Amino acid sequence: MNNEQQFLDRIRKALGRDQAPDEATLFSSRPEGELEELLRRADRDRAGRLELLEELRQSAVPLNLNVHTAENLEEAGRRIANLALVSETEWGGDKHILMHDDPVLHGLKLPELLAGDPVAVDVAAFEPGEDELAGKQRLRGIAERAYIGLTGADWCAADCAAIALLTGPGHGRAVSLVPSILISVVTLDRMVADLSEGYAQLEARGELPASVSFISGPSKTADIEGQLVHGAHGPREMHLFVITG
Amino acid sequence: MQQNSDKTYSELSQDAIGDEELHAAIRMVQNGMGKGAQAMWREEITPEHRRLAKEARLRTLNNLDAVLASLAEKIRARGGHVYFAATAEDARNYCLEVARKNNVRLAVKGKSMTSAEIGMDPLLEENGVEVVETDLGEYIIQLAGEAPSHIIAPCIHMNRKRIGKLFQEKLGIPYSEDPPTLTRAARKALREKLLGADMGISGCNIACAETGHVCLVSNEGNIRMCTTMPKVHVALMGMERVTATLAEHDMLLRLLTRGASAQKVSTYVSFMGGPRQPGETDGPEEFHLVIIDNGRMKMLADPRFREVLSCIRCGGCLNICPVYGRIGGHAYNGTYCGPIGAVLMPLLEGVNKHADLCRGESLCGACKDICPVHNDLPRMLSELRYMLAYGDEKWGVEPVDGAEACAFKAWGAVMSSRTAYDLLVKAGRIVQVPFVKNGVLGKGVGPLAKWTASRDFPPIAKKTFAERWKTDHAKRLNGADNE
Repeated sequence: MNNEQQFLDRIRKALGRDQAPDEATLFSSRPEGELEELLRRADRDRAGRLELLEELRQSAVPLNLNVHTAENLEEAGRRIANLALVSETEWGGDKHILMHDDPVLHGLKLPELLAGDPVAVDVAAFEPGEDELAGKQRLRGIAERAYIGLTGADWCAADCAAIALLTGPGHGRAVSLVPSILISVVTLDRMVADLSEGYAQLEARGELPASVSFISGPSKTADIEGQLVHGAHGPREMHLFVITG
Repeated sequence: MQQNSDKTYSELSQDAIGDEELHAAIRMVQNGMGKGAQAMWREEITPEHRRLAKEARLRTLNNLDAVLASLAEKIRARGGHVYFAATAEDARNYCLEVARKNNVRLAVKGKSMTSAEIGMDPLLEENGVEVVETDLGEYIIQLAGEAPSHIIAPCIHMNRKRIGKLFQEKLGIPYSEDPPTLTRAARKALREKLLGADMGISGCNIACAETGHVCLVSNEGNIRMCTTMPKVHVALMGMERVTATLAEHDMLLRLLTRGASAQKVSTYVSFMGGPRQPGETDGPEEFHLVIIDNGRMKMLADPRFREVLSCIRCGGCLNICPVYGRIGGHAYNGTYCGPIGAVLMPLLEGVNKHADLCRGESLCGACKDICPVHNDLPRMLSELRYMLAYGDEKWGVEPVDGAEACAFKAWGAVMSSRTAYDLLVKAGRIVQVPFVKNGVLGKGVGPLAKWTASRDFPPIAKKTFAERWKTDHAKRLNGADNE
């Protein structure tokens, strides 16, 4: 008997039964129809989503999360480029932006907008035919140098200002973590009211990737005499652009 | 296991009771986070939500075998390793083995109480692995060579001046007592460690079996760093820290962050369920989950204590407890402190060994009120005291004071017999005469002396109520008849 079976047998013994329980009931703890109801609720009209955007603005304030709205990707692109120009690097060196490989982010056209400026824009994806471990090392180097990380978001919960990031090819974890400033771009149709609606989106996907993160604002700590300080280990500044068009 | 001082609970408590600075720091936490959590229970979370959450916790515990099997299967499907550790020794040896296989020189830790419980750091360090805490509070106490004094605010017992001096000495920076400056210094020093480490070690707040992830919350981002940048990630998890479904996870996460720090959600919530997948550009190459028993199986098997495994370790009970408020975390002298520690430590390490903890709490019930899942810690403390009074074979508990047990047994016998009680009252009236001064029993003898040192005991009345009832009431009745 292997280590796992022995362990699980001891649990059964502790619980005073011989057999494993009925998993069908165990893994369906939601009342019938609850998931469908949550998904229906999250599928609201434009007016409903604009209301959520207002709520998001309110909930972002105490978190020191900057919420911006832009009509379209062109406008967002221009404003992000401006932000990149006025922001300073934290650890010195050249200005690097590292972004997820995401159609919405490509639509910002940052490389074109920043072509004449001393700001490099890199995409966190392997090059064709690149060895994965070598590529990982290369991108890690860029992430460590980058002052801005740029991501999309799977959804954004209005009541607590949290965005959800799911990993996958082109959607690495370090982009939202290692650079000093995190900028996320989310379209209005990704707005949900709260974490419960967000969880329902995840549940509806079926399988989840190896890593999922919720992020609500810049990194912070209050470990020294309870005084709140931003920028403990993650980004010290965060901007969320909502595309309303 | 962390044993931080040779002093007794009473001695450590006495030290803390005189420490005004400590009280001010705890007051700040209790007024902020404790009262904040209570307000959220009133305004944002329905009692029904908490009842359902508790129900879900107990359902998971009652089906823990199936839940853990599913968790392990999902993680293995992504190429992760899962190890089931029966003892602390098994768990720490496994960590060492993983470190050895990967030639680990530097390991970074994202706050894990379980790692302290199993005594992992000393073993790794003995074997040439540098272990660095990365949570700012944990880092500060590691530099100072001290122990945490709060579950989520580990260094509340240290003020900014001490931290400033510590950083000046250990990090070689100019003295400062400005929290932003000190935080920046730690950010810089720890960034080097976080980016240079070969192994990241984390705990697990609440795993989810249905999706196959451990889940961790943090505000600093250190946990995401520890679990993303090093090539190996080891997650340590007490076997009960899991939900069956994502829906239950939703329910519990909301309680966890509110109970811990009155936040709707922490800055970061990270689900991790395996190593870097093909095509992904980062993440650990190896992922290990260590599921730990180390005494929990016994709690699961005992209906009196199964409930304590519903704890989601938010630390909310510390933020309200009047005893913790006066004596601080160090007096508990173990890995887990506060009301939850007072129940867990005896069960994990021996009821006799931690007898003082069982007796130190006041049973006022504040911990049960604030607990997001209404864990009845006062009831369990009473059970522990019962064990200490009468012994318990299953838990190997020796009765602490045979004479006391006999005395209370005798008391019980007297109280349940009318004749014996009346006799005792009569005898007491005579025996008490030399001790009554100014109308009170102010100076007891023997075991009573301690009790009366700060209190007065009313003497037995010349006539008890029952006796007066018999005579006076009878008189009145007779009088009525005569009219």
